Amino acid sequence: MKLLYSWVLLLAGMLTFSQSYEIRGKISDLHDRMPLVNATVILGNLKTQTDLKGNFLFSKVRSGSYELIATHPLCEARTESLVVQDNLFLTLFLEHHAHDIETVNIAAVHENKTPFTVTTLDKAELERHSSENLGNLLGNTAGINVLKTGNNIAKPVIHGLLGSRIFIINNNVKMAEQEWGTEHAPSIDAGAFDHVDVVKGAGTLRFGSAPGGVVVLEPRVFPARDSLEGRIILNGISNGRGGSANTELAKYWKDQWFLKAQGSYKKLGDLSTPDFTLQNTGTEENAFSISAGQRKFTRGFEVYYNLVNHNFGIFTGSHLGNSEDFYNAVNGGITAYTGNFSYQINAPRQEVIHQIFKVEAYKRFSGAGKFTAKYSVQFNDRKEFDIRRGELNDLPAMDLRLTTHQFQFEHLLERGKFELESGQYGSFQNNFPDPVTKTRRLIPDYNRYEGGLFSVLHYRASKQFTWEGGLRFDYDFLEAYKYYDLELWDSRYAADFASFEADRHGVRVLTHPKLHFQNFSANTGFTFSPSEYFNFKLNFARASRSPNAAELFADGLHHSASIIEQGNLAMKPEEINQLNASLLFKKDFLEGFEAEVSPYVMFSENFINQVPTGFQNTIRGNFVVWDFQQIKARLMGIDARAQLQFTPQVKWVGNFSTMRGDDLTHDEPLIQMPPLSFSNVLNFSNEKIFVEAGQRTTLKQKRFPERNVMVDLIENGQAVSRELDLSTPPDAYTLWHAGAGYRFSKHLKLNAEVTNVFNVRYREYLNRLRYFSDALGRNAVVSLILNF
Amino acid sequence: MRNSFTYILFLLLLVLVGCRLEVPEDVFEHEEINKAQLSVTNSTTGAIQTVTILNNGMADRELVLENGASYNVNLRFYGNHGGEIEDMTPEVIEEKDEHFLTYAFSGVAVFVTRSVGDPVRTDGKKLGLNTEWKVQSVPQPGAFAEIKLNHSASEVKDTGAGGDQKGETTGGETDVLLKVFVK
Repeated sequence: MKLLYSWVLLLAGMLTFSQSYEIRGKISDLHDRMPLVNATVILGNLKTQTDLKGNFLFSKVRSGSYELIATHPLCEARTESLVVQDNLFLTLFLEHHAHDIETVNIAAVHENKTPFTVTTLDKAELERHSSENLGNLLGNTAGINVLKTGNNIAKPVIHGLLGSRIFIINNNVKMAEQEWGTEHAPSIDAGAFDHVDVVKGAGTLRFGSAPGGVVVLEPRVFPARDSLEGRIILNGISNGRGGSANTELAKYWKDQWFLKAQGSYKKLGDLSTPDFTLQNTGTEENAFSISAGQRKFTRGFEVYYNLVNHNFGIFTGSHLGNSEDFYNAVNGGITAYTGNFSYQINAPRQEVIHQIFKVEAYKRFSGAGKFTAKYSVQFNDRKEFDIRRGELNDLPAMDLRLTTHQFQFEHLLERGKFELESGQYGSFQNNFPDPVTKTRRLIPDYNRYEGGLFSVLHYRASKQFTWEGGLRFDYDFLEAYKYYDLELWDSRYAADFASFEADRHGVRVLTHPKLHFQNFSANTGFTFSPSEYFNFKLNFARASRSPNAAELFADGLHHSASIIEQGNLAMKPEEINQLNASLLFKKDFLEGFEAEVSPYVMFSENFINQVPTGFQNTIRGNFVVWDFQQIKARLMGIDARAQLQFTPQVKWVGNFSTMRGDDLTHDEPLIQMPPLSFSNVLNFSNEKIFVEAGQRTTLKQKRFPERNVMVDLIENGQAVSRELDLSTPPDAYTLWHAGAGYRFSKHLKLNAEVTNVFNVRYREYLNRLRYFSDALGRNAVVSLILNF
Repeated sequence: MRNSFTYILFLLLLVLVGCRLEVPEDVFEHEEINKAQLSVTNSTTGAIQTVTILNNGMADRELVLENGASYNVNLRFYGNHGGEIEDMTPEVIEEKDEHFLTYAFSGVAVFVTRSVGDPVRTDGKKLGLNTEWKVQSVPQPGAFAEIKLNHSASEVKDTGAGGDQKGETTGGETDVLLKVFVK
């Protein structure tokens, strides 16, 4: 018996020793679940590869303990310990995109996969124009214009829309900075960023609903290696006899930690037209930013701080009182306050300090997608200094402090065929107009609470066809305390807003408005690319935004504009429906030709517009009253761009844009619509040298509303009425520019550029100071760029 | 993760509660001139006419000017802030280099001289608060006088053709524009 038992045990052991199993499995990408083909799988001394469906098979694996290693090109290897005692089916996920970040950086291609028109200013462009402000930088792109107050204050205008209708995104933070003001420049140091994308039209819903578009300023993404690098740019600027400096230092590591600091300084004295130096047009700006964190594909975080400090002088000759002053300045024929160059910046001037602090973190979970949480706080302190009397001369005439907290939580689900991005947004904003100014508040004290939900689906039906659709809902609650003159309150608001009245005292009334707004926005669009030579995009968007503080509450004399502005408490959200299309055509002609045409049309039943409605007599004279109204409006236009690469070194680029805007309520053109413009640039560049010359022609705007004003004067002892022409746009003009650069080595470059080469006298329709002087004359900028 | 979420929520609540809106005090434009007073004294008879112009720019009466008569004219400025009247004239005099008054007439010929005691700017030109008017015609229907206080003109002239001192300015901002009908 014992012997039989022993033989049985021996036989069992032999059978066990010789039993083999099947190990099957599938290897997929970690985040989009796509099968990984030709992944190598090693099990002990056995080796195989995955098939087209990501499957692998080891058919005869003896029982025991093994180490399984799965590898794939551009993936991090995966190692598992395995005990084989039965047939097994394994599911493995590999991280396929570990090197994607570096790939994008090296290729320097910013691919637009959305159905929206995106224009990019790349790093080289930003570097060449590092002395320019953001508005002027963007103004050379088709469809993007600039609304200026002089040359130092420039706001982007996209398809005729500006201010609250355009979002500026600074390293993933939506800027909050009194953007309602036409003479409020964005507080941005464009030189701190790697590239700038402009989405024209109401495309992205991620940051809210911006009918005009979104300007996205992106910092550099560092590669996964150990390095320390820096950059110094020094600019000498002739017009203003000044200069600027921009320095940057970045340390990054192989495990994708990074630390970056950047600073800049700019100082200019009085600017010059071809004939005159304009008194008090200097500027002084400084900026600093620091960021640190880790940015892996699967997880990351960033801490970011940014400070921008601007001090702009406003041309003294534009500082006027009433309509008669305007008439004398416009018709006087000689620009006042010219000559005597100085670096001093006196009143009238603007001083703006803007600070941003951001914390952001994200993590990708296997199968669940990417989760991102972000918190930011911004402090904007805007002081406007006017020429004042007595001891008040050193006090600002306006001191607005805006504090904005923003919190955003997002989820991105990525699959082979689609991405679904969803999120929720919350914001709290406080505006404090400091009464230390001893002037009436143009914008009142208010708290603003916003919350939003959005979801965007991007679907790839095939390589040729993609579709995107999104929805967004925002709720907005605004609470303010505002004083009105009793006469104005009783005549305009008392009947409809009696519940807002808090207290009456003498000729003034204190109100406590509480306003609620709901905004539904949506977009849908597709991209069709049957081949690499043709691309067609079409998208429809509905953008709804709440009225801003000026549109609701403006009340009184706006000194810098010499007009009386009147907001409207009854303002409703502005809804703009728009259709945007884009045709991109490429051809293998010479070294390559491409052309893109982008037509668009917008329509709104409640477009917020500011129109003159009458006069108000005061002890200071007559002032035109501008009311905010809601009208029916239509805007449409075409942007076009063409590019021909003659040889690998020689390229021509042409841009064209035209648009029209109509106030359908009053049956007249919309005011301040950009005129037709076109430009041509011829560029030669190789590894060492670049040379460029170009022109930009802007035609006279023929469509404008007649908003002239009759002014009473005394001439030769008799009262006369004269027409003050505020409406007629200036004449057409052409400006030439030329530039050249030489690369001494990998580290050192020298660039030079001259704008308005022929010192042409011209005035820009979208420059609020065009009534008082010509625009800038010739300007030469020499830049030294050192990379180390 | 849960603790982090709690901290963030607490921070948010702290922000929201801490930023409750306070009721602000009203502010009046402290350097705004919203009242002017013109005292016109007949040099021969001593009769005084006082014309007051309020914030809406309108005078409370017409000024009577006789052809051939001479008048001593004095101007004062006031700020009316919530019922408190402040004489702004000393401030204007203190900053005389930043200010300048001009006079113009429609429908009546008047020769203006800036008075001997009128404040003198550092450029030697008189401010124009105190003037003498010699009326040289019968006022036509609808005749009026226009007096302007200019702030920060780039250039001023106090004497014109024939020694007339109505004054001229280039640039600057109008702080006060008075229109007084004359009969």
